Amino acid sequence: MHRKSKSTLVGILIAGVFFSLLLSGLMLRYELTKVQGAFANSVNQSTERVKKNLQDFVSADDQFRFLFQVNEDVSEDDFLVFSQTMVSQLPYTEEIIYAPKIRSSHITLEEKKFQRKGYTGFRFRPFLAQQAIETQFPDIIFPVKLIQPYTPYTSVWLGRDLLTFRVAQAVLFDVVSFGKKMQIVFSDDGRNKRFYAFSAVSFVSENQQNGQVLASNIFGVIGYELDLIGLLAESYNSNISRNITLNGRTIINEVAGTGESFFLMAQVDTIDFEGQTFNLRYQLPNALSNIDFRIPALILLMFLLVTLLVYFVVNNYIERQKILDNQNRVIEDQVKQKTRLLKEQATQIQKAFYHQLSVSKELESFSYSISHDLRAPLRSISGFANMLNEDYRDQLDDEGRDMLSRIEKGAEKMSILIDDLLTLSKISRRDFNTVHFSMSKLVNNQVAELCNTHSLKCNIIDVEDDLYADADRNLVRIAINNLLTNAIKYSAKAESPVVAFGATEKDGKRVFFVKDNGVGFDMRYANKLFIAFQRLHGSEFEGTGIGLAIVQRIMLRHGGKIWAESEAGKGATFYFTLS
Amino acid sequence: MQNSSAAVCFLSRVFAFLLLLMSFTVSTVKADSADGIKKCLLVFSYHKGYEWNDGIDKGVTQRLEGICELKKIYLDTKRNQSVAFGKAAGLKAKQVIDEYKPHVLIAADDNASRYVVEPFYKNTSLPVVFCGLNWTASEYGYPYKNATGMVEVAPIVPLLKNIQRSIDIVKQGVYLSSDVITEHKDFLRYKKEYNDRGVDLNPVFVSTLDQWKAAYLDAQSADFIIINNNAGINNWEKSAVIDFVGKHSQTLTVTNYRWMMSYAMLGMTKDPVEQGRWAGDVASAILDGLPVENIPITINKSWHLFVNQKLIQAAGVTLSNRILNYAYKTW
Repeated sequence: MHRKSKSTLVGILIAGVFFSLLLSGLMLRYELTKVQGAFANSVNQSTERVKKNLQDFVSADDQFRFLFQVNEDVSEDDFLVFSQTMVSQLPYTEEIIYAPKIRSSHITLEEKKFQRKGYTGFRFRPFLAQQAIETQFPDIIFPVKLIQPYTPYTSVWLGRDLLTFRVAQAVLFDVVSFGKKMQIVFSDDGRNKRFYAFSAVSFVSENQQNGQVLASNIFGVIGYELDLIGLLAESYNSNISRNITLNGRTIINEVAGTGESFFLMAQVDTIDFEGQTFNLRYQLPNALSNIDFRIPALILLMFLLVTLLVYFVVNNYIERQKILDNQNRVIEDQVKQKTRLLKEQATQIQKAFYHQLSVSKELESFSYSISHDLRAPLRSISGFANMLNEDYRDQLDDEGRDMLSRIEKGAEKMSILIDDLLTLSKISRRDFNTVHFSMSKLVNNQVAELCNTHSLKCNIIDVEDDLYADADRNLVRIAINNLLTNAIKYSAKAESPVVAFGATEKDGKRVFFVKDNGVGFDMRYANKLFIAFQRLHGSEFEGTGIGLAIVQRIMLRHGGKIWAESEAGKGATFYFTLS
Repeated sequence: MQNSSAAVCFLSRVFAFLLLLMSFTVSTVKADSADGIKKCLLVFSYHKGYEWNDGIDKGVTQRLEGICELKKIYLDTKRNQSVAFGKAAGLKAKQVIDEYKPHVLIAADDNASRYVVEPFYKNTSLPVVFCGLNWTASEYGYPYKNATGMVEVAPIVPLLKNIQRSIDIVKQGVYLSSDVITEHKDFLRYKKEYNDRGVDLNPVFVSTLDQWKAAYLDAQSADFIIINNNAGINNWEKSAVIDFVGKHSQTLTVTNYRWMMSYAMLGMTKDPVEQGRWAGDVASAILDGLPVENIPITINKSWHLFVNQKLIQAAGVTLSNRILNYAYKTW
């Protein structure tokens, strides 16, 4: 049982933990799926945003180039308005420039135009030493003429020949040589990362074969400095790392290391842009850090708590069951022991009973036999004593006659004693027949009989009317006879003897009583009243000492009992019940 | 006894050492604070309270607040126009500059360059940012290797574009101004730019208000009138002129001066605050390490567009919606 309980509890724990882990794991998996979905969504959005930014940028550049194509000389005002519009629409555009194509022979003239406008000391110049490279087009220059926004920092571009711009020379070569519409170059000088984009402006629209224009038709270049992060669009989720390359050159590398891990999520997108390729690799190095562990942890905790709760409930039940089992076992043992003891006692009682019964029977048989057998010799003694008295009385002297008289009295007393003994022995032997009868009538009859027999003063006996009983009438009559005889006998010497019979209630039972105002007895000897041959008074009152023993035996046969209350010199009351 | 004197000697040495350490610390802190604060000095050509002057002051102060400690000097050469006064004021300013030792010197308007920068700081190691120079900086020997700035250019061509946007035929205009040298110079610039664009411009320079009124009435037959500066017409009465132009205007009148907007219908004016802001931004960039020689001398880029609604209605002149929409202030 104990082992079974233990295995049950272990089973509950294992099942609970397993179930908790399973549910928590499923929830974790769901959360991971959410993170994967969010990652994919974020990456797709990011890529789409980059695409849109690039498309918007190309579209804005088309409009911007159109401005220059339809206006021979774009004023600073117009440039300001258009570039401000563009910057407001494309916030990642940090700087816009326009550089017209000027032939070497026109440089001085153009410089004077600038100077006349107020640009004192203005000169077309190559880029600053650290940014410059020798131009590949000695006959033409593309000096920066318009700049927006115009700040002290951007003003350093004013008049600089784009063809000497080291960073962009390669793409500018493509732009001014082949009229490529849009070329992007990435610059990283270690301190700043910048995108530069250049677009050729020509007199005629692009030809239909290759989307390019004739170099001779190009009259200017529009340049853009772009905010790298703005153009490539920040990932929506800052936890996502990016590795972005343009034509194989790394632009952004937020991916630390190349190690693969179980929880690594990665996606690679490619964007083709005007013949150039952006490669965007996104990765979430540790998806675990993006998972919301709260719900799985809550589920795990909750189910573990439930498991523990179930464990403790079952454990408590088992423990209580154990205690009950132990108690039952103890009770069973006690019951068994008690039963065994009872059986033993019953057996002993039975043995004693049968022994007592046999003894009693033997005694009764013996008493009967003695009484019966003694009667014959007693009758001889009594008979011969009578005959001797009648026939030889005169021949005897006084002493002889006195002796003879004593023999006759002794024989008579012995005869009475034998009769009482026989009565006592017969009480237990005779048949028991319960009937409903009037106790009052039975008592009155007995009183009348006693009055006739003993010449008593019958008027002193008071019998309560309408008392009934269910009992063996003959036995009750014997008992009443004895009790009335005793009452009359012991009150005979009273100045005004009174004997009463009546009934009262005690503990819900009817109790009959016989009361007298005779000599009474000392209650210290009350226990001897109902023992055969025990007498509380001397020879002044006749009797064999068997009457009350007979009465008690009758009451016991009825399942009742008898007791007495008295005070010496103040009469006695005998109470009895019959069931 | 010897022990006690030794102890006193030791304690006095420790005390002296602590005093030395404290004084060194305090002096170091003072030196650091002195070195840490950049200093700028702004030399105004004119006096405080002069509208153009205060505009520049506003722009410079806005941009340099929190960047450098800004000290201001006023040459007051508007109210004292003699060369002698100017030179004396310039010399006095030099003394202040040399004493103050600024990291950047800002020279506002022509006379600051004429009387301070050119004679004392041309091609020196002190970075100079000028602003408010009329039309060209070359008059004062610019460019210097240690100087850059913003030239003040009137919006001559943009003004013509707005005139062309407002009236159908723009062939002949009148340039009405006070008879001072500056206005003559300005007229030549107007004339060249307008002639280049097919517009004939006739000058009328006057010295009195009556002359001005008569010239104004005569000019009503022109396509438009440029009302330039009234500075130099000593008996000018503002309310009388307002009343006069309100009654007699029939043709479009324009100006490049904000204070002349009470008498003109359309104005494109230079912004002194722009000059001041540019000078402040350049000074800030120089303090930030941008070499002054890399910053080209530039011209003002923005103008304020004004419309005198009351006068337009009185004259029955119609301006283009574009102008009315963009003009941010109307009388």
